[in-house]
Amino acid sequence: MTDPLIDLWTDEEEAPLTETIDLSAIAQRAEEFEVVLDRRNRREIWIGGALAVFFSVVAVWSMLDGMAAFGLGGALLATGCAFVARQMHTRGRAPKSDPTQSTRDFLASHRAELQYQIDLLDSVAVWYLAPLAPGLLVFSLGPMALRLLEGRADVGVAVATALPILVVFGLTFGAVLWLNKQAVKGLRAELAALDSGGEDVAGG
Amino acid sequence: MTTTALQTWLRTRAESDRHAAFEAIVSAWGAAIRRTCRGFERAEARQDELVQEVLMNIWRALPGLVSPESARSWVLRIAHNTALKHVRHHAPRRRMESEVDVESVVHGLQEVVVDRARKRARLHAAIQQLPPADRSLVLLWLEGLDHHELADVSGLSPTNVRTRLSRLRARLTRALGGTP
Repeated sequence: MTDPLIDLWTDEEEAPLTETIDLSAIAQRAEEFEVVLDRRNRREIWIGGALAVFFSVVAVWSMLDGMAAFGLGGALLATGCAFVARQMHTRGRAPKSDPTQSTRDFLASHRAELQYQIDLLDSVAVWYLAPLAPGLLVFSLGPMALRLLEGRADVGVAVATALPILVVFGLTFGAVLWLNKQAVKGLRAELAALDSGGEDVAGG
Repeated sequence: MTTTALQTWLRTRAESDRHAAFEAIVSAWGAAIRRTCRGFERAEARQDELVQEVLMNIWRALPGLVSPESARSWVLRIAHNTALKHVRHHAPRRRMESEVDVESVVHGLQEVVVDRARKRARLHAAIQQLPPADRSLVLLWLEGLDHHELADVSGLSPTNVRTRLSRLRARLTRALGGTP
């Protein structure tokens, strides 16, 4: 005899899913989602690589033309872009939880996935912003600093030139950090929800 | 029909057979998927969103399906894992969501089915109040999985499944006004 609760739960009549949902569209969306994600990741890596090449050319051209500060800044930026592109390539592949696993294993791998994303976003200042900062500063402020050292520029003019550039950099970097902190906050809340409700499947 | 379509897909791995296998799975266990999503999500829009997410995961995971015999627990495993991830992803943003309103569920129904619908709505409300992992276990049991299958899908030991289920069944029976 079936349990009355099971009867109660399963005897409700409703339209079959095959009639209410377009399964071809679902399959297409599932495929497209993967393609779009993959394409976005590749695009970011390619942009980083292209910028590295561009600044390498700028560095060589500037050195040959006797513009040492531009040359050094270009070389630092090229190195920074190449480093960031490499980091995106290696760190961008977060471990994925497989929904065909048992719930216990799935939640454990989902937890690892969330923790990985948190660590990645939390350390964005180290692997994304820090490698670009020296190149950006030398490239934009180097020529003026050099003129100042050589006594060919007035201090007031140098400060007036440098200040807006530093403010723009500060705001841009600050915005990137703030956005990442917000994303981390959301992921931490998700992790907390997982931990608070997951202890009963985490045990045995 | 489901077994034949799945066997054909497992043999040929052709794209057209994959679509046929997918349709066969949804025909056979679509109602269970729908009920699972209803058990995890209160709002109808979120239920629909979850159903689609489950179906997309089934489509993606199809190449990994080993045998037609294991398809039912495979489908339910995907549905439950997707639902658990889904509710926890949205949990921090909807603390204030209202509970199941039993009277609004039965409103407009014929007298003969009102009692049954009211009971089902109470069962639904009681399930919604369980922590996600317990909810998952109860919903799998309500879909007719035995203790062995429940242990396999949840990753818990059979003894643990039996103990928890007995406690949860008593709780649900009490919620429906009966004695455990």
